[in-house]
Amino acid sequence: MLRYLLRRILIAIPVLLGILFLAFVMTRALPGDPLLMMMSIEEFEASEEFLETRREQLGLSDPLPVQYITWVGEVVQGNLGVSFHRRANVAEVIAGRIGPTALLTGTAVFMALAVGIPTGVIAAIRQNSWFDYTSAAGSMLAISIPNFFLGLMAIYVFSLQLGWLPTGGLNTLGAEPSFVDSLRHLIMPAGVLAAVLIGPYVRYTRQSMLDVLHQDYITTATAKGVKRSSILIFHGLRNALVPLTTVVAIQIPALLAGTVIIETIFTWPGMGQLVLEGISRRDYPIIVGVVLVSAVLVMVFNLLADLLAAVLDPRIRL
Amino acid sequence: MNDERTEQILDEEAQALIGAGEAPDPRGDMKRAKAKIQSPGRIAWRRFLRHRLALGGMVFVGILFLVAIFAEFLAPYDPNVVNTSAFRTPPSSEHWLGTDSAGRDVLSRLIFGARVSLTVGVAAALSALGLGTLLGLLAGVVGGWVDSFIMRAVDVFLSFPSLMLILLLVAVLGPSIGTIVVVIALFEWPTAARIVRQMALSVKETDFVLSARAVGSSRWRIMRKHVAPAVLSPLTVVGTLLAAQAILLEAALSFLGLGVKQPQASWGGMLEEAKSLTILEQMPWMWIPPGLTIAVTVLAINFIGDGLRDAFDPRQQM
Repeated sequence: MLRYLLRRILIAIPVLLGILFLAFVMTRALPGDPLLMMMSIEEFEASEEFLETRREQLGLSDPLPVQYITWVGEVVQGNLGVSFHRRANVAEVIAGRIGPTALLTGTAVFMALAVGIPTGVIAAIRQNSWFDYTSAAGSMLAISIPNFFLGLMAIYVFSLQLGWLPTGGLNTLGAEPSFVDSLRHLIMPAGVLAAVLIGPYVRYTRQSMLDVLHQDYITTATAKGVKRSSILIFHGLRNALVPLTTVVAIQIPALLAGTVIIETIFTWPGMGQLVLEGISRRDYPIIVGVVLVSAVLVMVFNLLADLLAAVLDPRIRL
Repeated sequence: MNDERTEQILDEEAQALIGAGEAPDPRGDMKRAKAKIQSPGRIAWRRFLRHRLALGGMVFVGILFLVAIFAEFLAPYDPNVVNTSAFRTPPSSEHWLGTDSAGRDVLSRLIFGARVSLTVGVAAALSALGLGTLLGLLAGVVGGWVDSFIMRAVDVFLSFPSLMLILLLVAVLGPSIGTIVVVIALFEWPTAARIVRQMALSVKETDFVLSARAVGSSRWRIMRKHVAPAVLSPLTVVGTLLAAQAILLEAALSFLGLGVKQPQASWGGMLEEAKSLTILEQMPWMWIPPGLTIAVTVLAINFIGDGLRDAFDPRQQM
């Protein structure tokens, strides 16, 4: 177990370095001078000499390989640098954004599982019924509608026409923060984000449920006279859920990609919004910081999913 | 990420596409077609015709291609001409779908936008397939460390939130159709590579390849006559799904303002205006038509992919 963990972490290191390298090279190739982007009007009239000193201070005049190595050294120590635009510590800026993104994605996964698992199970039990076909068509529809259009439709219907939900943000500005208020802000972006996930969840739950229901031990349980509902839940679903943990992990990149768009539409102050802002302002440290943090998150969750699968299925040895 | 079960699930997906890892074996079909012998291609085509949704999708996409080709004759106005006397006018007999914030005719922009989406869909899918096929063949045929290096790269690309790097790359290269095609190809090749590698490995060991080698066929002839046809049908399915994904991605990038450069009309770019709540609430004619068009187009392409998958599945009865 410990050896497995160590091996996984060792494998992750070159992959992370590779991703860091790609992100680093690309950010340095961005057109536009970040120094000009971060200057105030007064500074704009400053001399060429002043610009040189600032470049020097920010390490922007060193050769690229030197910048990369210096920077990797800093990252290893937990220092992600200072945001050009916000003039704040990148690690702190990102730390402030992880919470909202985690809340949004966590709720989305929960909602997608809450809808996807029962739908998949019923579709498997009633294979080739109208319910099976409808859920398949629904999943297809959900992956075909662009998420930004779905988000705009949701705002249009539920906020602007019906007036049930706020159009965006984390909570109502100036109002007393309350659970109900936060929930009202959360439900729409999380629901739209969940729509992309439901399709794959339904498909895999249905498939693995069908696989499990054809196993001999299900026949045995039926022959013994075990109640059908408890066969389905304790013998069927429990085993069908094991592959689903991996499916949830595989979908995490798609989930993080979704946050970039959903957070923009719903003005949700998370990492997705931050990375877009970073790109439009040429804020290298922010972009690379977010890319790095999401890469680490993806790896951590993949590892957790594997461990969880091993707990659920004793046949899997790590 | 370097996990056997993840691989198993991904391989199962690949298997579903390539029909249980078997090369389409004409002998099985011959038994059924006692009276008249049909080529596997004909059988697949007849199966495809039975898939009504796929046929519907095919008709829709066909019409869309005609619209894109003859856009100049079909569009009532020049899509880029700014009409200062008609800002944001609702649909009328003059402008069937109204005009946008610059007074441009929405219907005309919708018609010309088909060019962008279809170009990106076809070009990106073909380039991703090309790159994936090349790397997959290399991995499957050469084997050894080349194989493990390529497959490790596949793992990295599949487990990473690529949208963030795509955003970065587009910001670096500058938004244009060419950039989008290149970027999508760079990040979407792994699925194709996985399938081609798998096919190359399994076809290499089949009896018909072994006997072809025994009678002295050259390597090139075996590749062309035996491996290529076996790989072609699953690749068609992957290509169709890739095209759908590419169209969605282009729309999302244009929506974020990082796609096709204004004033060129693209469906995603037309939705960009709906980021303003006033337009979202009061001028639905500016954003609902392009949103619906993207959704229906992607749905149609996904239906075609589904139909092709069923048509090529050798296990399915006529």
